[in-house]
Amino acid sequence: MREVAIIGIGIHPWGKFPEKSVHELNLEIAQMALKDANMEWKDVQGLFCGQDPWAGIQGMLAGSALAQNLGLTGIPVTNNYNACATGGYALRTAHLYISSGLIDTALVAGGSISPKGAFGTTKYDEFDETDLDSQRFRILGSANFTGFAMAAQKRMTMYGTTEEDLALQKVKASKFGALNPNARYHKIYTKEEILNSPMVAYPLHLYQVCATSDGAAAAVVCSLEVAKKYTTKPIVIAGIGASNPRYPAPGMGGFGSDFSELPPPNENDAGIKSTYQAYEEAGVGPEDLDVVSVYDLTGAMELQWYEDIGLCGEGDAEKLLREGATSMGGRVPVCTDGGCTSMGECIPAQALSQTCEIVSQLRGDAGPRQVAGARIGFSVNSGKLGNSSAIVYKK
Amino acid sequence: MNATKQIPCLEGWFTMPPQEPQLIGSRCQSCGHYFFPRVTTCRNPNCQKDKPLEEARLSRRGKLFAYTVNHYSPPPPYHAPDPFVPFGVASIALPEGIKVGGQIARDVDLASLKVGMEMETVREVLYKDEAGNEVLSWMFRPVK
Repeated sequence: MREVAIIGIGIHPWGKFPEKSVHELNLEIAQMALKDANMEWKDVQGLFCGQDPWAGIQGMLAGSALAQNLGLTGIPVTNNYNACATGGYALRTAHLYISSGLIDTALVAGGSISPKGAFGTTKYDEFDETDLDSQRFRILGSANFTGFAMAAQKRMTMYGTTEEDLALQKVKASKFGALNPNARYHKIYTKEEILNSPMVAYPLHLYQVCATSDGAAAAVVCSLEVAKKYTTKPIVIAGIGASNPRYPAPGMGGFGSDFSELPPPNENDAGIKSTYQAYEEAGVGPEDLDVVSVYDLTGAMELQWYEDIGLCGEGDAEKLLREGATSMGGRVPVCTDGGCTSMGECIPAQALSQTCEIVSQLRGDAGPRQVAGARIGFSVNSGKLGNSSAIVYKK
Repeated sequence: MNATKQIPCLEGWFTMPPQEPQLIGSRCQSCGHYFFPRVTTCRNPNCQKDKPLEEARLSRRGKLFAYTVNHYSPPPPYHAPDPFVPFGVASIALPEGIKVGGQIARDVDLASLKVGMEMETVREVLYKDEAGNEVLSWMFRPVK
């Protein structure tokens, strides 16, 4: 298998852009990534694009629409949706096309104009009992953050996590977000401000609930051999994992879980599996990572990731956070772009935004939030029904 | 004047009066695993699936596994009361080895909830529909 490198990135700011369509966002970031890679669109041999479920059929065919906007060249176009892992799976697929030798160059992109408030279902049929997403909202009044709140509350019960710990993660993220021009929120929060903001779903206050954002991100990837023609700073995809959970499936916040013994299997089974796939392929362990991006939809989720990716042992994540190991200037800074906490969540683009940040860091292009001497980076996420993707990057 | 009619929020997901409140799931007769809501095939990848699923009335009692108190009025299709009142959402671990989700009964003191406490399945009015029917749902309350 051939080595694959990232040679160009493009990212649109995260926020609310009602004047734009997802197709305009995708076009902007595709052109940005191609320019960054010093590559012309006609030299791209495959397009791998995240679908935007909020934009109808045209959104489901976002890659095909992007190819039309860039000018049809007849290359294969793959549209994919795997919830929060969408961008990672798109990158995974491009990686396979290139490492296998089928093509040499690819553009990976994803964007969305997200709904306001909370992510709901795209359907909302009150009477379709097979649509468990609609029924979850109708019968339980359970939004995504309801499940996240339950997981946070569970963590507090199991490990003695405090509301202050959860607020500290937001403080940490907001310091990074303040330095990221593409972040949606630039204000630095204090613990008091966070804990005094209105309660949304115990223990999550308003400033701890990840916003739904519009955004888009893209990367140009190619074989390492071809990369050398375009750049002196290729970032190698050293390991990449993608995984779905193993039975029994977890189910916090929904109607139920599959059969399982108590205590439960890890709710993040797929996240752990894809992480260790990526580590193994790259020949690295968590102790080797210089900069990390995890899926921080809540503080409790970020803490859980510290343990799941091996930055610390079970129940030790709060200590790692309090010590500042994952903060700016710490041993292994986490979510240096401010994470979902400061960006908000843009489902089909979020994994690629993580890629853009790690690539910036390894190139040494991250400006005031640069992690000095970063050589090995890692990004991981998992989403609805447990799908997960994980990537190890090397300079 | 017509008597108020009571209808289930979802047909066949739980028992209706005069039966005592119970969730209705599926049990695989091959591997013995339970599922809620009902499934059309056993989801256990290690199951031989040589016997059919059967309808299973689930234990009325279980333990509080995790919960939250929702202070935010969910948008439609949730039928939020006006004025809005915070409500509890919980995951309950049943003796069948599955966890089931549901709201906490409306008159429960939400500050009294503790992980691990014994809970029982009840049936309450979730909302009134446009025709004036009482739409019932399953909920959970601490065992007194």
